[in-house]
Amino acid sequence: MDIDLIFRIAAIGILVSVLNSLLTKSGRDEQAMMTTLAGLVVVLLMVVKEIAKLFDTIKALFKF
Amino acid sequence: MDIIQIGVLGIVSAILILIIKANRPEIGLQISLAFGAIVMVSLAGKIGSILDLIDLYMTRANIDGIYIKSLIKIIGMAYITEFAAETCRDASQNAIAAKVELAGKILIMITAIPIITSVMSVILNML
Repeated sequence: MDIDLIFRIAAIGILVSVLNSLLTKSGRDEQAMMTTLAGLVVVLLMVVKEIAKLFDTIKALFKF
Repeated sequence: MDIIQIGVLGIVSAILILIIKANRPEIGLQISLAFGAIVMVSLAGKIGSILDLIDLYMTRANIDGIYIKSLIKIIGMAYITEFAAETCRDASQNAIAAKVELAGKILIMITAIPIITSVMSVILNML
């Protein structure tokens, strides 16, 4: 039961938003954009893996 | 994974989403997706036992196997369609949600064709 997945995603989200505002304040906007995209990709990979596991379970359960 | 855990986890992830939605709305949506996936994967065992119960009593009432199979398949398709459509609505994409639901209805109709044809043939014979 990977409840910590949700907390990991939340931590990444908070980290990315803090980094983003930090970088934009210090004038480096393109790096801020890069960190945002990097955080988004990491979170997306984790969520897609979880969704794939869900759909495989459903396919096995409902005998698709 | 009883109902208390699921309830608390739901409330906690809702709060987390509120925190993150302010400046990173896309990651907020992904938290709700992750929550939905985790809860449903943990409930898989219980759904399996319910479906086995349905199977058992359907075969005991010697209803034809093809109907049970497509019925259970339709339930699964309906659930996946609802999961995707509600997620799209969460992201305030109502048009996409409507399209997903339309596609789900059409595919369910296709799966239900054998049931429909047998019902129609019974009715036509009666007339």
